[in-house]
Amino acid sequence: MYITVYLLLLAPAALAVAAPAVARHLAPAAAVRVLSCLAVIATAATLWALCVLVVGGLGREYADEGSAALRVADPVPRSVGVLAAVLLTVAVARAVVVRRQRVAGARLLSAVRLAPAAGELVVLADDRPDAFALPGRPGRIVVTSGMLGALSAGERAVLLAHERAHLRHGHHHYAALADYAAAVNPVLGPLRDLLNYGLERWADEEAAAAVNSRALAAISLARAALATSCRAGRPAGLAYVRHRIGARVEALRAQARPSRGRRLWVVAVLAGGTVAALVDTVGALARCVNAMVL
Amino acid sequence: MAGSAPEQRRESGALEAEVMAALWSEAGWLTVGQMHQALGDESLAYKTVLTVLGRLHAKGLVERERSGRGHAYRPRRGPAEAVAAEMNQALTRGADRRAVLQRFVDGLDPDDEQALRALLDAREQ
Repeated sequence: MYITVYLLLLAPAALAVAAPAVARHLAPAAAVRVLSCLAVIATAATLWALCVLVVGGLGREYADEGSAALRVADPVPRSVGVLAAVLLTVAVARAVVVRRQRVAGARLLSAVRLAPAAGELVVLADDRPDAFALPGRPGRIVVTSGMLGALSAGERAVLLAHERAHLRHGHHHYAALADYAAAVNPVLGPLRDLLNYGLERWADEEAAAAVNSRALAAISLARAALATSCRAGRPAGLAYVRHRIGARVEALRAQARPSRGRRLWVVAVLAGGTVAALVDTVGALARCVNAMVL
Repeated sequence: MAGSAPEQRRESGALEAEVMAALWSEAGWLTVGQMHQALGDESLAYKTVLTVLGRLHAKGLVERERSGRGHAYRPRRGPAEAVAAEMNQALTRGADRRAVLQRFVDGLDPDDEQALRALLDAREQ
């Protein structure tokens, strides 16, 4: 049974390694949904395995010295229990920090959300080209006057459709999920990046469909990216490449690819195995707790 | 361009956003006719554009002046400046952009930059 717990701890790494195949073989919307499921499974596996080790390793202190049942059911060394407790505390603390940042950010931006808007659009009088979706209620598309001036009519339509897709499909929920997963288990950082990229690709595809032209969508993206990089007054250190503009433009210039789900059997087996291990350890923990209580 | 899309009836909110975006991208006053043209969508009725502009005016987002038999419109800077100030204030007070916003484009490495320039140049020739 305890082998299962340690397997459970390895599962997130295995899922993170397998995740790029999901992004490769599925269309963006499907890829995001599958990656989100993997993130949930991997996060649950992490938290649950740590919980089981804490109970198994430290639980003996709460049981009778002479409880033979516990000694039999509980081969987790105390040191492992302590380590698991530390890791669990760190994971929860990191998740709480993510939560705080989100709540504080949403509160600070509420004035922007409540400003008068043309439909969903809020224009900022600012020469630096920038555009983003501000999720929540009501959701807003925020674009600077600099960005609107840099794009043609068709390119603006792409931009609006892209941000609208973020809002309509609740993309911030997926992004939040990915943030929490990476906070709980840093091994899931690459999975979060894949998911964020998938969200941008999803919105790109929707925008291309809205204007009925993948070429126009690609041009719009290229123009916006160049305008932003030339004129942004941002310190160079902050210019991280999160959304891989070049790859997004290339993807739009290529043919839309249908999903090839059959290639993903390895991922399915891994995910299924992890879920089975989770279920198995629930039973194991129940036995362990029984041994302590009785 | 975008107008070639066989669009079904757009939501009025989406149309408002498009009209507003077009007004901001043009530096000066636009008549309803010019606006209609700027949107580049023949399936759109002139009257619809007029209605949308009226709604934006009622919201205080655009100003208008008489021009011939109708009006010319342009965006009011006031609200846009106010909200830009709010935004900057939120960011300086530590709102973590990445936690709450989804950006259209974000960062660009030099190789990407060259490839994108080549793409735009090729299109313009």
